[in-house]
Amino acid sequence: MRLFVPVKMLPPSDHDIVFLQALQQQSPAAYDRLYADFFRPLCYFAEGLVRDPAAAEDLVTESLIKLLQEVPEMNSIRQLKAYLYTITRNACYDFLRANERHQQSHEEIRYLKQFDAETAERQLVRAEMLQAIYAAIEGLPDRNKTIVKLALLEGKKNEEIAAELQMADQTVRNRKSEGLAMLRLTLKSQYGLSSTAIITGMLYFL
Amino acid sequence: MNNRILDIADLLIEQKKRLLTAQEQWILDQWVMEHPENASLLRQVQDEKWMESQLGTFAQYDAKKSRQNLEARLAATTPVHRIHLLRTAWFRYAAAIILLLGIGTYLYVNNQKEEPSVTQHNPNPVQSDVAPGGNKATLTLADGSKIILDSAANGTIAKEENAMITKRGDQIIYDSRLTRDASRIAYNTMSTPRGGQYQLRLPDGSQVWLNAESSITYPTAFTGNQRKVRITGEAYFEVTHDKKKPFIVAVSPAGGGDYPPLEGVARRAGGGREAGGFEIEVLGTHFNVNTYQDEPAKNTTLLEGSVRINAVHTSLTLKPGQQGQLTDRGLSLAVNPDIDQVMAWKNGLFNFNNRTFAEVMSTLARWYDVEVKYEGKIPNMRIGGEMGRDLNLSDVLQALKTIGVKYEIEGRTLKVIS
Repeated sequence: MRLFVPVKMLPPSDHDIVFLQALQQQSPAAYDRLYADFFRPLCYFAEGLVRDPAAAEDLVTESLIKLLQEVPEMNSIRQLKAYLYTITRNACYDFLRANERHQQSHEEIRYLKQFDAETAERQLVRAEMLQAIYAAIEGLPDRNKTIVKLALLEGKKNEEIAAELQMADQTVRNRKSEGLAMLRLTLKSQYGLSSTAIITGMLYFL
Repeated sequence: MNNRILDIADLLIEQKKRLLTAQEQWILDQWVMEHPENASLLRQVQDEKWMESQLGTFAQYDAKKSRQNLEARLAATTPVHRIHLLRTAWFRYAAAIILLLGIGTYLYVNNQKEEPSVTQHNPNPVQSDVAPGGNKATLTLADGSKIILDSAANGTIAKEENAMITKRGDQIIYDSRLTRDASRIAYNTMSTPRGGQYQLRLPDGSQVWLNAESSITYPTAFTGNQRKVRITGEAYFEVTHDKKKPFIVAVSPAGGGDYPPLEGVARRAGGGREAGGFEIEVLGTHFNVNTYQDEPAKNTTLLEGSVRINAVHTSLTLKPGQQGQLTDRGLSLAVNPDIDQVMAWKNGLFNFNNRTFAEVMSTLARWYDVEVKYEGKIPNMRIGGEMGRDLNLSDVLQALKTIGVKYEIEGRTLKVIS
């Protein structure tokens, strides 16, 4: 039995409306936010499915182009997101199918496994989680951001960071833990959700 | 992509910030239980080490390169020209819609033939004009008294036995105090004229948008074990959840017949589902019902949630994005319904997708409250396009003029001369 969860969302914020309208008009002002919010999670999503980072980037670029060439009517960020993940997923299917044929013609042994809907969904969850953290990092104050990025994204040790930024070890340690604490506190969902918004629904079994 | 998985992702993110409420936790637990992979995914995203290990990959994608490619590609291709005329007056003077003629031939907007006209009509464009429809409706109370809502002031406009009725702008809100006494339930009706539209919040908080020439009859308080309303015309619903009280929308059969009773059990003999009549049992949230008599079918389109359409001898459950069509031949699922087209009216737009000339005229007639008279044949063509419905009629007709059809507006009559 599949559980169905109806969820009531808050109406889109003014920022969101302006952004969606700018997209409709193919306005470059919208591209900043489009890339900031969607490019990486979509790439991570696609890479999880096609296992090829370069191909993933290309597929996502194509999806964004497709979006901007013919923008569907959208009333919320959520709709936009669902649309982007869907067309990216479909592009991944096509890519794998095309590659399968290629592989067969060259008689390669490597077997590219097709993915199913649930696998794609799980990859979406990972992508969204990572994006939430990534966006939170990008939102840190400058004094913490660089250090946290070097630590978390590049895996550098405190001493390395201190050397690179020409700071004292202790300064690095302090600012890093300050930054990490802020991440935990301010990890904001970008979708304008609050706890009350999620819970107007009751649950149905279909 | 299933919207549900977006919700799950949101919950997992929220979980990192705060304690989830019991209900949120329940939703998450259900999802986890559905599949062992979900459980391991949960552990994975809660594992800080794993997250850190992935962030490197995440950061390495080359957004700059992608964006350069994207901008280059977009500059190279001519954008598909979707002509939107939204609510701003600015667009009033840029009226143009894309026309599709006959079977797959396209007529460009500037390709007009000058006809050496033999008509005696003044070649001048329309002399009078018609304003678009607006927020107009009439509320009929249980005792039969009527309130014209367009001119009513904001604030409390009436009190029924167990409800307070307030007007706020273009919306009527019911605030009901529940009473256990079913015999005291009163029914109100909101109806819109041609050229009207209105919004209503029902006693349970459900929102209803009424299109022109439509009505909804409902009790002032939802007692009993179901919430039943009856409609004519076209309405869009956003129903609040109450598992204990399913929400039912009843539609009367064409040409009169017995109205399905609003009280009592829904499934009596016939149950009001005589030919053409049907009921929609709402299990979820957002859907549009179009029952205009002059449309080819009675359509129910679901946006979110779940509904079951119950007609004579047959029923159909819809998933989001699906549309059920009821005609004389029965109840069927539409192939590829155009949601934008269905929802256009509620969003203040006209959206025609390959519709016949007559259908377009009939939609315009209902919104502008005019009567269409054809002099000559009804043009045999199909029309597609989108524009705001806050334009004056003459602006709309301006665009339709390019295909060799002339129009004249005289008072409330629109003459189509072909």
